[in-house]
Amino acid sequence: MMSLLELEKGKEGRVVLIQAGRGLINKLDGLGIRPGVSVKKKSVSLVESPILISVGRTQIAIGRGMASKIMVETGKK
Amino acid sequence: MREKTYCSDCVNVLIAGNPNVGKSVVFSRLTGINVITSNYPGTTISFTEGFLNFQDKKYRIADVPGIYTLEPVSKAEEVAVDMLRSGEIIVNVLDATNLERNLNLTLQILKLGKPMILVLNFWDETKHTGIKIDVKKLEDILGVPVIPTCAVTGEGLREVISQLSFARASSFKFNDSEKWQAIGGIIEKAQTVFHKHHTLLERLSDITIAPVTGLPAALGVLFVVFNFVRFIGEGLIETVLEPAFTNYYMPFILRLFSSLKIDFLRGILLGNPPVVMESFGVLLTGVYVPVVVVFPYILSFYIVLSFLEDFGYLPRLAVLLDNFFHRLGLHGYSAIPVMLGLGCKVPAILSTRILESKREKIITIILILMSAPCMPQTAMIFSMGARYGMKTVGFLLAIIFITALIISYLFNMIMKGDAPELFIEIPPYRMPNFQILSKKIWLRIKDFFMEAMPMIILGIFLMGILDILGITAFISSTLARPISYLLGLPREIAAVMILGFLRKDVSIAVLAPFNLSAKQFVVAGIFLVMYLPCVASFFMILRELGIRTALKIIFAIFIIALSVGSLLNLFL
Repeated sequence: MMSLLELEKGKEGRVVLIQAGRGLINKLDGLGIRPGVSVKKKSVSLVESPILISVGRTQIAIGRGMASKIMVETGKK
Repeated sequence: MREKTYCSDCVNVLIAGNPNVGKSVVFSRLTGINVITSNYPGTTISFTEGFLNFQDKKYRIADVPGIYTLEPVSKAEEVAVDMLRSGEIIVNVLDATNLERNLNLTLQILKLGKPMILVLNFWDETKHTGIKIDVKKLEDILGVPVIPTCAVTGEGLREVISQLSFARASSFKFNDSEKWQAIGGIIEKAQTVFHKHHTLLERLSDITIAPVTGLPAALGVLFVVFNFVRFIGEGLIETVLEPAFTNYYMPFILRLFSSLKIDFLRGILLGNPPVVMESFGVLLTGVYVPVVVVFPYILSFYIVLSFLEDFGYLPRLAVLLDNFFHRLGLHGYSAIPVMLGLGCKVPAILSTRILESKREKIITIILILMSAPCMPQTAMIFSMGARYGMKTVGFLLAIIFITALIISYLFNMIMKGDAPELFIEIPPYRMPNFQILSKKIWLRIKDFFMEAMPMIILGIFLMGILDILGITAFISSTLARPISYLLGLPREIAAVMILGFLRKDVSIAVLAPFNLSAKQFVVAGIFLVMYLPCVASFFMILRELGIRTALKIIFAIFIIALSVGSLLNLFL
């Protein structure tokens, strides 16, 4: 298990846990990010800018603080 | 903001849905009311309402700001959710290319038990994105009318209107805890996805948002935007507006008032002397500044901006520059007004309305005012600076930019608070629809003439009175000695400063006869870029921030400009 921040660029991970308050969980849920779904990390820059992820057909730019609260799993099927 | 137009026999219809699914376009199509729409989430901030008559029924239709969930996270969403509860019919607009996520809100809305219809917008896009939705099946499952539309072309909107009277509460039942399973079930039955290749626009999207390729791309976009704005703006001024003003309008006005002998009135109306750029006559300068100087750049900037908005470029730019702006305590979204400011400060200041807090607005306005000259002034600096070499010009612009960064950084430290982390959906690129684009540009131009132009004219009127009463002359003669001493410039700089308030580009041009040294040119250029905003933007700031804050900022900037100029004079 690792945070979305640590996920390698271009890799996909399955969300297992969101370590955040209800507000953020709801917000993420509204955009389709919830435990169980696959999230792909699309790009990340060298400097501390937001990271770009895609969930289904939605692309979302998300700040690093938020990304660090989303825990994902890779590899296991 | 939430007061309602009185209409007792109207049926309340609310247009609701996720951000950026085209609710406002649907709204315009239904009511005939023009509202600004763009291809990025959150264009609708407050709500708009309009009316529709169909088969003896009157509908009051409201465009609700976009929401992702009925459990409100922000203040704006709270308003939207409250509104939804008061509606009689809900028109739920969905992005057909993103059905699964959009159904999340739909399922929450149908729990309200209100009559509703579903509108599957962007229907045309599903075809080339390899998505097939069985509309009939969706209707059967949810038990409400489902209508595919393409709102920008108006396809399917007639159907929406005629189905309003068939809106009904959904019969679909599910457990809240199994919401996503329920959605999964619907998707499985009603949607088939074919494999598809990446489209050209998708590739372009990846290129323009990844930092390595995105930053050069952004520079490229900026370059094209500049040249376009200059080409159209200057073209309009030189070939149409300037000749029309000097050859027709001005002689006409002068003849009209030739018999007016009261000096005071003449001074106010025509200026004294009646020369456009040397006085403040309401009918001459007051018309010249907004129409001939500012309008061409407003028009050309809005053409490019509106295109980029509808294409979907702006959120990508916001993401790319977010890190940079966060260091200044701002949001990536501040990139939009700041970029506008490189063209003309007036639309830039207007666009700070998209920012949430006053703090963000203030810092952004400071950046707008200080980080770079406006387009006409930049052009003038380049042409005047040519004889000192491009290195000098580059140095001048660099000093301005660095000063702006330091100052906004300081303001960020003084003013408490931080911008929230960026969290936005990046819409796909879409080819703008010509009709919608031109309507939007027209709306903005109208807004400029109705809202900004009266402010500018009023400003020039007030300046004219100060001028006639001799207050301006008094100020300039008092300031002339200390300022010319501090900056190491000729005394006439005071007169140039007054002129620069009217036209910042001309203030640079009139430096020509002084035969300044390179050092003097740099000092004068930097000072004249920063010392005061032009009369048009001055009154825009007044309107956006209120008189007290505006005056404080402007005074602070003046002091900073003077200090930077003096320091350069000392140490260069």
